[in-house]
Amino acid sequence: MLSIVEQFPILVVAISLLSAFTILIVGWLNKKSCCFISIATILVQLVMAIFILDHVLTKGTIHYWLGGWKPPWGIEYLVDALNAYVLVIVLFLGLICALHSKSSIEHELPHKSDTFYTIYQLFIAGLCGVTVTGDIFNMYVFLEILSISAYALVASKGGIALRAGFTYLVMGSIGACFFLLGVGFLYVITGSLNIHDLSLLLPPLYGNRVVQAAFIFFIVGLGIKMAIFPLHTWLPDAHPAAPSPISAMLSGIMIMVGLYALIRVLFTLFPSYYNYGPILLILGLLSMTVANLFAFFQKDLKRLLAYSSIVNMGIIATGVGVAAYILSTVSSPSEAPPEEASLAMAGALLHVLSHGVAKAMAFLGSGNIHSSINTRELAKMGGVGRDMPLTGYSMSVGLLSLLGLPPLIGFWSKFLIIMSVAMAIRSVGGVVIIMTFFLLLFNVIYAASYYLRVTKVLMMESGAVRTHEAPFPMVFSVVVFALFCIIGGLFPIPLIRLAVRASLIVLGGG
Amino acid sequence: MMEWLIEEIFAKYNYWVSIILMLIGFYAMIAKDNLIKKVIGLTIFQTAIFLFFISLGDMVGGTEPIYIKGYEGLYVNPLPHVLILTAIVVAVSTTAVALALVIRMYEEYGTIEEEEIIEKERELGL
Repeated sequence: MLSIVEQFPILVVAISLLSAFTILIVGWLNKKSCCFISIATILVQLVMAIFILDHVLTKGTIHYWLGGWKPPWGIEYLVDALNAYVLVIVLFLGLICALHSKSSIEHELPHKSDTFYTIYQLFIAGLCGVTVTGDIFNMYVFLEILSISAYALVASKGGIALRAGFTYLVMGSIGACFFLLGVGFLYVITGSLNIHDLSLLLPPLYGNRVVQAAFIFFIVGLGIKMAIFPLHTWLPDAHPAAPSPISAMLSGIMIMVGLYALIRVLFTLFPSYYNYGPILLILGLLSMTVANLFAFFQKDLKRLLAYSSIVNMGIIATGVGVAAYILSTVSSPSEAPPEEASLAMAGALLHVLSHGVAKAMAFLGSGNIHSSINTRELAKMGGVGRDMPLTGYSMSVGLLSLLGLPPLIGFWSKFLIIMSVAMAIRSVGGVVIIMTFFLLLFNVIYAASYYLRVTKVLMMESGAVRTHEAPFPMVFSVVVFALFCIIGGLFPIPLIRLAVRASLIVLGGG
Repeated sequence: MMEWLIEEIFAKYNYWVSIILMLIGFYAMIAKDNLIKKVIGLTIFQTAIFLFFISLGDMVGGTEPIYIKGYEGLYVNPLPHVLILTAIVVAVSTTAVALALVIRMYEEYGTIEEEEIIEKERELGL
């Protein structure tokens, strides 16, 4: 008999789907209540996710078999420290963005709140589903649920957003089809779809060309979903075009869920036989360098933040790549992973949290500014932070956290990644690691140029029209994120410990 | 030469058909300027993958996968077909969203050629 917490993985997904359709029906009668249903649902989900995390950390992995069918025949929901960690981040960001959208949707999408929250709940269901599932075809289905709702949400503002949404739809569907093809190839060769089962069946078949093709399809397909260079071209159009709470969710967590899926697939199915470390490393370095150069010249605040998402995705991919690279230099897979590898992976996973919170806050803050002075252009925002002090200061905290200033949470994640690379120079060595170290350092410092410019424009310059603070829910949500950045930065040890636990799951030393 | 042709192409024609269809769809998505043609390309691309899956499950001489007492012969693998049922639903929803976007763009700009839409966006100063 399963305990009640062990039933939560399915409930987290199911109540979100249920509430999506409840909202649609209730929306006919009363549009105002939609938002409360959505917030209440996500709150319940968040509480469940915290229980799941606690259960996973104290009692071990949760296995839930849908309909009681044992794997590999039935669908299995498998939640370990990594899933639970990502799930809590997803729902935390989702809750705050739902709060923010209570006011901002009235401004950005008038009279559409019922359909907005319906699709938003489907989006959350997709995000949760990808995270908790242990079945690779189920992962494809949830990836598509989340992507299709993301296409609709991106295009929801009409006008220029339509074309951005359409481009995103075409590219995202190609990515999903490649993923499906990869799943098909693995099914042909093994006859199984359960990720854990596949990881047992695949090792003798690694030399097979079908498996190699599947490996490439997974990297390309999920590379599009997570917007890594050179597959990032949809992102700078799609993310700014969406309403601001959605931009926050897309940049903050959606691309990270794509990365989570890639980590899960690569590290579980193809451990260290395929040397994917350098691939991720080089793609990560390229995406951060290229996107950094573009971000510097942006005049539109949301577009600048979108490019900065690609930069941060590059940093995280580099961290994961370094971990995989160091792991591949170890001769025997049975011993515990080297310290540098787990540090790099923990840094990358902590950066998922710190970037998610800070970037979501920056997008929400840009939404607050948009609601007050109706512009996204940096040139017209001079000194707007003085008229909107809470938004202004919170956004400065968020941008400084993205920059990696010491007492904030963004510092710790970047510090862990750079430190692990520095340690690897001594223990592993080689041109790749040294090049990574210098490029990473260069990019982290270079990023300061535009983050500081935005902070300066918001707080010090002048030129914006006089205005007043945004409505309460919008201000409240940015302040919560700002407080999280500060408190998480002052007391980082529990968060780092959590990230290390999650990284050991991936690297196989837990 | 002839043997190679038979072994690699004619004996595995189902894979070749799905690869060719996939590339046709892919080409339409990349090269065509008309948005409806892009959607058609997307549909062809997805359908090609479905055909690939369905041909995997088939078996010459196999019957329906229904349990009959005493039957010892071959039957086709139902799992790929079930997967594709789900994938078809996904594809239909993708197409629906894509078509809805195209309709909205047509209402907004009066055209479904991508180049013209970009030009109109520029004129509007977006």
